[in-house]
Amino acid sequence: MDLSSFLSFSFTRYALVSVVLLSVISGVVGSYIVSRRMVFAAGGITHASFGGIGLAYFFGLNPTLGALVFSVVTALCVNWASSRGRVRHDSAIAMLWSLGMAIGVIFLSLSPGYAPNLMGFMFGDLLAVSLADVVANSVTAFVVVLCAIIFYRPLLYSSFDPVYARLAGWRPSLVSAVAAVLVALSISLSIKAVGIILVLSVFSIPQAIAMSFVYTLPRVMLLSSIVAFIGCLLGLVLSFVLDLPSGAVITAVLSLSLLLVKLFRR
Amino acid sequence: MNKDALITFHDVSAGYDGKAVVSHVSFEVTRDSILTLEGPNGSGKTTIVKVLLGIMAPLHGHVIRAQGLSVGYLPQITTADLDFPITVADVIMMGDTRSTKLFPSRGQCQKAGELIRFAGLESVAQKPIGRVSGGQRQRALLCRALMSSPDILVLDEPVTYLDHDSEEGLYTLIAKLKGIMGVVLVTHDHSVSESIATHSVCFSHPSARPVSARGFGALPHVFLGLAE
Repeated sequence: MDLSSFLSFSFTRYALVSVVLLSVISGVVGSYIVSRRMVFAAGGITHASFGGIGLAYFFGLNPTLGALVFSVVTALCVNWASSRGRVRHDSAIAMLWSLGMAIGVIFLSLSPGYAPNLMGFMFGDLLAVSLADVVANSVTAFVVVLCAIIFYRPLLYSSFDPVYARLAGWRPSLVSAVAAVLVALSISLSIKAVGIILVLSVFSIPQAIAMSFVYTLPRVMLLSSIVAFIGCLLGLVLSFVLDLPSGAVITAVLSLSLLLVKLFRR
Repeated sequence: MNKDALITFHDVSAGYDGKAVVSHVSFEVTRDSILTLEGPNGSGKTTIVKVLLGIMAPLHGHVIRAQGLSVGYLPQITTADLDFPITVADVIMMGDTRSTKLFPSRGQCQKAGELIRFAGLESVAQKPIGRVSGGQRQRALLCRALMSSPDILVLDEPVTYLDHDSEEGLYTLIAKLKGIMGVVLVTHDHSVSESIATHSVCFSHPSARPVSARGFGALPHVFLGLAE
C-alpha cells in the first residue's frame, strides 16, 4: 500500500493523532519516570495492569478501564512500599508485576466463549485506536502537561531531594503519590496503542536519548516528546509500508536510535 | 545568660534509648560565632547537631533558643539524587524554607542571584548539579542552606569529599558569614578550629565527653567553660 492512501482512512488519522498525544504524554511522564529511576516500577505498573484486563473480560467490562484501575492500585502500592513498606522496593514491584499477570491469565482462561486477542494487548496496535481512545488520551495529555507546569517546583524538589524538600515545607510523599497515579493513568491509556510489553520503550528510550543532549527536566521533557514523535511516526509509517505490527516496529526504531546516539555521543 | 545568644546549650546530655552518648555540653552561639564541634568519628558531634536542629530532645540539661530561631543545615552526606536533571540555580532556590509558592517570586530569584555571586557560581548556575565539580556542588548546597537567611548555619563536615583548594574556597565563604549569622561547624580537623573558629568544643573518643573547650576570639560570653 502506498503512502498517499495512508491518510485516507479514519483509523490512520486516529493513529496519527495518537502518535502526537502519546509523544506528549510519554515525553512528560517518561522524563519523570527516568529521572526518578522508576523504570522498573513503571514496568511493574504496566504489566500488573494485565490483571485488570483479565478481570474486565471475565465480567464483560471495558478492558482499558480494568487496566487503568489495576495500574493505579499497583502504582500506589509501589509508592507506599518504597516509602514505608516492610518489603524491599524491588521485591514489591516484582511481586505486583507477576501477580497482576497471573490474575490476568487466570481470569482470561475462565472467560467463557471466544478467547480475546491477547496479542493486541501485549503488543498494541496504533491502527486499532478508536475515537474514544483519542479523546481519553487528549484529556490525559492536557492533564499531565498542566500538572507538569503548575506543580513543576514541588515535583522538581521532591524528586531531587525528598528529605530536604520536606524540611523546606513541601510534601514530597503527596507529590510522589499524585505523580504515581498520573504515571499509571498515562501508561494504562497508552497500552492500546503500543501494548503492555512495548509501552515501556516509549516511556524510557526517548528520554535516554534526550538526556544525552540536554540536562534539565523541562528540556528533557520537550526533547523526549520530539524524539518520541519522530520515532513513533517513523515506526508507524514503516509498519504500514512493510505490513508489520506497529508497536514492535516503533520499539525497534527507538532502540536503534538510542544505540546510534550512544555510539556517536559519549 | 548572654542576651545576644541565638542558642544556649547548658550542661546538655544527649543520646539514644535513654543512654547518653555525649554529656555536659555547654556553649552559646551568637551572630559573631564560628563555633567548631571538633572530635573523632563516633564522639557524639552529630548527636549534638541533632539536638541543635531540634530533631532530638536532650536527655539532661537545657537548650534555650532565641524566639523564632531559624537554622540552616548542610548535611555531611546529601540525600539528594545528584544525577537528577536540575540546575545549580534551582537547587539554591529550593532552600527557601519560608515560601512554598508554586512559582518563584522576584525576591526569591534576586536572593538566589546574590547567593550565586557570593559563592562564585555564576558560570555554572544553569548547569545541572551532577555536572559541576565537587567544590562547586558543595558551595551550591551551602547557598541552598543560606537561601532562607537562617540565624544559625550548621555544617556537618562539609569538606569530606573535597580537594584542598575546594576546601579552602568553602572555608573562605564560611568565614564571610561571621557577623551575619552564627555558624556551627562540625569537623575532625583541628587546624580548621585554629584557622577560622572563634570558639570550639572538643569531643573525645570513646568516652564521648567533651574534654576541652577553647575560645579563640574576644567573645567571652559565647562559651561556657567545659575544661575539667
